[in-house]
Amino acid sequence: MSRNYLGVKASALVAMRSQFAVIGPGLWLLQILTTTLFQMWFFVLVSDFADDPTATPSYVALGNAVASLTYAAVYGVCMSAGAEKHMGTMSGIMSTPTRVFYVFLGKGVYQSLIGMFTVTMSLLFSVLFFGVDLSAAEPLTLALVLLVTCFSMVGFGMIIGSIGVYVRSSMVLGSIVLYLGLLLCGVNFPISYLPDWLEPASLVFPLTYGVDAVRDVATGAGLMDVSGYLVVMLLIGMAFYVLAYVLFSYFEKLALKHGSLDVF
Amino acid sequence: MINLRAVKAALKQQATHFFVDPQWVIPSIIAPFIFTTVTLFLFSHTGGDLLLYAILGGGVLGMWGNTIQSSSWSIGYDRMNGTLEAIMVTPTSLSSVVLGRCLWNSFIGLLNALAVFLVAQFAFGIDVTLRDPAGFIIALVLTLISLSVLGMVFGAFYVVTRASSALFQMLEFPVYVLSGAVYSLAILPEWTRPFSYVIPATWGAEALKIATFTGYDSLGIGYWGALAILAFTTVIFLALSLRLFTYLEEKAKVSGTLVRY
Repeated sequence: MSRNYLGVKASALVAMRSQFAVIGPGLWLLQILTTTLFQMWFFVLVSDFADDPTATPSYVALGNAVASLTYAAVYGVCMSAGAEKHMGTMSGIMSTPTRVFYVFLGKGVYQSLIGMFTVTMSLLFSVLFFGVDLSAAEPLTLALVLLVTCFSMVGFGMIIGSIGVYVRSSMVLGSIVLYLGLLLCGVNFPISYLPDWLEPASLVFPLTYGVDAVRDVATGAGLMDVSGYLVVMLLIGMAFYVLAYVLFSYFEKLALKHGSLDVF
Repeated sequence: MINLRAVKAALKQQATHFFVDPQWVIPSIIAPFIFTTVTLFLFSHTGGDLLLYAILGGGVLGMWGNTIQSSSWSIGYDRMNGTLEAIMVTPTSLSSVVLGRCLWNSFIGLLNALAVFLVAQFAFGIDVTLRDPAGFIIALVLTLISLSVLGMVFGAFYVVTRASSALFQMLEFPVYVLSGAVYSLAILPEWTRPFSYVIPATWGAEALKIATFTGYDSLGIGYWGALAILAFTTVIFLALSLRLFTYLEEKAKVSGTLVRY
């Protein structure tokens, strides 16, 4: 137990140090903020041009602010396996006494911090530039909703990341899930706009519940009002972590058997 | 100077790389694909010409997305694979090699237009009819060349620094916003217009829209006016990229950082 805890802690610290190995903190910050701001702006302009009475610019801006969690919480986590392979460090990780699941959990912990920072900045942008009104929102409820959404999304990222242990690169999968939420999770328009056959797919993504919960909190809903969303996200999140544990073990064995640890 | 034989060889090599492992196009065009599909959903309530805006814009966004992601990375991969030094000691200029790669990458970005067109056709039942098919093709080819040249400008920086990927990947979404590819430039704030005007994609998208919609001419410069400005901005960026390559190649040789990644 203590070995696993140490593994998670060490992995989180290494993830933090390696974040700035190639690009400095200033450039990294600029990259995160620019990408978030321009993505939000693009969809705000599209909704403005479409003049849809439901998907208004502020609706779209708030959705994109919450969706900015995806970059760190899902993409950052699931890209880790591919990055380790690329650098030739995956075999080293797998020969340590810590199970590979806990190593990637540590990366998830670090990415959660980044995700919370990103979403805070995005919400600030949405208020300052795109007319989102958060004056009715209870700060603690909002923070709790975002934390639970982030927890659940990291679990989702770990499932995708586990596949990256075996396949040549998790980048292709990661890039798909990075943007899929913009289409399926009610970020830019209500999920009722989706074709009937596609709507159930949106229920698998924690982001769907997170976006809905934040919209409710923005209009003044309290903790009890959004407790349903929180329970669903916690349950889905826990199921994701259990599944990720099983999948990491499975793909670890498969990768060792087929000698694909350094194939990228 | 640009060596056309080298451009052709680099294009061929890049195409071979693509066909060996085509999955790598997904990370480059997934963003423009999702962005334009979301746009289609948002425009679906309005219908009419707006849906065509999304399809046309999707083509431009796809070309740009793949150019900025793949082309600017092309030197980055050489750096990682240790082949950058070998390329730089050949008699052919590096700019010719990068231009060939950029042309292929922009061309493959059109896959996004195809994917969006299929979504539009099957999910929204949109019929795409072009007012001036020949004019459309000319505008498309010129847009492709102009975006390739813009990719060259950014690719040049990879010769001197390994951190340029972060810097230039930031430019993907600003061009989506400022080019007005999927909406009219009129909805952008006044202060952003000068930025829009220096991006070749803005004029490419404008020419494509004029060739598609009857009576469309939002900037009042006509089809040939848009093409002329597109050609002008392309020439300016080409000259800039050649100067940059000369300067940055020299700098990289002096600093000895070609294989550092």
